[in-house]
Amino acid sequence: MTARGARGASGLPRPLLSPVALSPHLDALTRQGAHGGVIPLHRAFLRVTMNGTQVALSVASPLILAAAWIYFGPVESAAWAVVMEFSRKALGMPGQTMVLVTNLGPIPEVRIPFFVIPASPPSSLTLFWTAVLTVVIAAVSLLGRDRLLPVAYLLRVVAFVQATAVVFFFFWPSSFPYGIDDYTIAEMIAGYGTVALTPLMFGLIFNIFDFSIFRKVALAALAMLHLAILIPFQFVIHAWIIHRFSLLFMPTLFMLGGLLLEVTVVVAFYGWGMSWRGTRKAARNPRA
Amino acid sequence: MSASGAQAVRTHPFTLSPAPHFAPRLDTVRFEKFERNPYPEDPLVRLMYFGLVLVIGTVSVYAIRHYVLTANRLFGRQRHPYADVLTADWPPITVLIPAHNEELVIDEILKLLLDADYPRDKLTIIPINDRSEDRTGDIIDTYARHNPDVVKPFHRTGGDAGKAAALRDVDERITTELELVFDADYLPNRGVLKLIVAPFFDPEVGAVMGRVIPLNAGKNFLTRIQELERSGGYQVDQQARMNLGLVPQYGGTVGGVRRRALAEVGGWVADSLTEDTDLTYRLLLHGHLTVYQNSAECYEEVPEAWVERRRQIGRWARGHNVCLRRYLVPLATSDDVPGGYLQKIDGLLLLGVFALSPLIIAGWLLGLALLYLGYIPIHGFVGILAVTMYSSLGNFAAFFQVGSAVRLDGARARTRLLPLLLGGFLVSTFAITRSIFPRHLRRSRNAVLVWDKTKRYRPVQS
Repeated sequence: MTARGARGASGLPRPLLSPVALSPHLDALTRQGAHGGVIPLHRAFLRVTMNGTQVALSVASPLILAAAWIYFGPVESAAWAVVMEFSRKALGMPGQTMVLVTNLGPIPEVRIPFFVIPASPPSSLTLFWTAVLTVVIAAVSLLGRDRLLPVAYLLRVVAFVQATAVVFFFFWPSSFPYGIDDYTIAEMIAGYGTVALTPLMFGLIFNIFDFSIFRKVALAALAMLHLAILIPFQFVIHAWIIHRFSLLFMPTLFMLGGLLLEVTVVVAFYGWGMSWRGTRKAARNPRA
Repeated sequence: MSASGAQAVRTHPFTLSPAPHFAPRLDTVRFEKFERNPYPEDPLVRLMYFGLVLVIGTVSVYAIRHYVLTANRLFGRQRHPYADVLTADWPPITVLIPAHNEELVIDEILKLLLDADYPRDKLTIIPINDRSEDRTGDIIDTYARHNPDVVKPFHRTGGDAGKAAALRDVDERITTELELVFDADYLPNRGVLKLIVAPFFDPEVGAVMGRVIPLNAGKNFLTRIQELERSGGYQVDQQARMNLGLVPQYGGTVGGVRRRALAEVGGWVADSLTEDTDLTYRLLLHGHLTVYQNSAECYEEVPEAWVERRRQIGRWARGHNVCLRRYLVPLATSDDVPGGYLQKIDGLLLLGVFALSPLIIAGWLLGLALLYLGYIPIHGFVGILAVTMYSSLGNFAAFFQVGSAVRLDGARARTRLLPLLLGGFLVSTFAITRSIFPRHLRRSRNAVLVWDKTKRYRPVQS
């Protein structure tokens, strides 16, 4: 019923709809509107094409960015450590900032700053008031839930996770297996990994579209920069909350305030980038 | 709390410049506690650990599926084998419009169908008035009086309630080989009937589905994100499955069925909340193709309130999971699937789509439990990478699909709403999970016997 055609006048692959190969003049004429202009292809038939150069650049740029992140790891680690140590002192938290030297799969050496700050189980008073607050949050989630159902569900998730923490610390106050050191190590490593993965993710899901190479690199770089700035501050705040108010809040911070926030940031950048205009002006014109 | 148990392999001061006044003395250490083997010894905990790994693995399978389908839609060979059928000896067709209390919308769809470019002498429209208590019956009768050659109403006064039962009962009145079904609130364009009928020239085709586009997308935040989801589902997911010869789903709202194929598979099933999904699998198991026509666009109203949305998706989940129970084993063991193993695998994955949400919630609960037990797999490269990959790649798959679809649709500005899809995902996840509980299962059995439909928002027609 249809045949594979050659490339059209635009140089892009012809659709598999045309039974005959037309000359470039006729090819353009078939898409000319009655009053001039061009009849665009219906969106149901559109697709994306990339030439060899675009593919090469789109693959190379994320790899370069990821490699740069890994190569400049010591500098990033130093910057994160400065931020964390400065913030620790500014917030009056005791202890110190240390740097973990470890390997991360194929990466032989990764330096991850983390906090060594004391944190204790909650007092009875903290436990009580947190339980009350948890109930209040759950109750608030029932108000206006018809119009704000996503917010209501989010509040219920927060309340549920916090409630599990209240129950745990009520029955097993000395059994919580983590401290701020474990916590910040794990979260900082996850954050480091997220930043390294971000350009690779964008390589897969953003660079395939017809954006300029500058925009492809810029989006990934901006997202990485945003995360690189966010992550140390994010876990300074977490550490302060845990130190100030006890380990009771670590589960909630871990489940809802860690990697999930970073992924949301990356999605926001992705959505923003996808709203940019492409370079191919005739993207809707030719039989692509 | 000090880093007890830490074994300093290499320590040296970490002096920073050019701001020595707050330059910290930072020791570098190897943290033995951190590098402990996370593999649990306790059998129960081990079971939970592997349960979590199983959840991550299952979600990752669906994430990979999303990627493959999206990549195919973007770059692959696009199959529209019937799109060039513009001139033909068009067969007689019957268009069915099941309607229960649809006075707000029935007028428009009848008007639009009568204006369709399908040969009038080949067109029969049967609005099915199923015990409406409003002016639906009167409106239908008015159109029948003015168009006696085309509009032939069917007023149901008894029998089981529900769309599927209505379609089943009208069957004896249909004299054409092809029947098209539209929901009463849909707004078909002039050319959509021919686009839906064209694939039926292929005798292997048992059902055809068109594309659904929200009419009220700009109403509020909820309608906006539903538009994004519809876009991803039709422009990318359905078309990719059509491209790859997998299982496009018959949706029952803007589509058609070959009556011979329908009769062969047992007709409309009245005890199903998703008679369309049910039919898709019965046709598949009997070797009939379902075709998706991406260019056959039709407008619908999506829920404008979250409570309606939750009800709608809960209904879909209950019906779909019934199909999961009915057809999982028959599909897995069938030798008659026309598209071979790939089609069978896709069919199985499609069956499990609404079972994913409870699985995700189970994963969250397992993760939380393991956190308290000290075995959360965040230690070690593999564990962290698994969580990072799951959270990033797994989540990103859906955004990639939706973003690609919206971009293909030429509405690139709407991609800025992508992060807000998380709110929709949250509601969907809980609504779908809710539907598996006994109270909701009982409700679903009762709901089959009543009209469980989406609220209409258009103003009353004068």
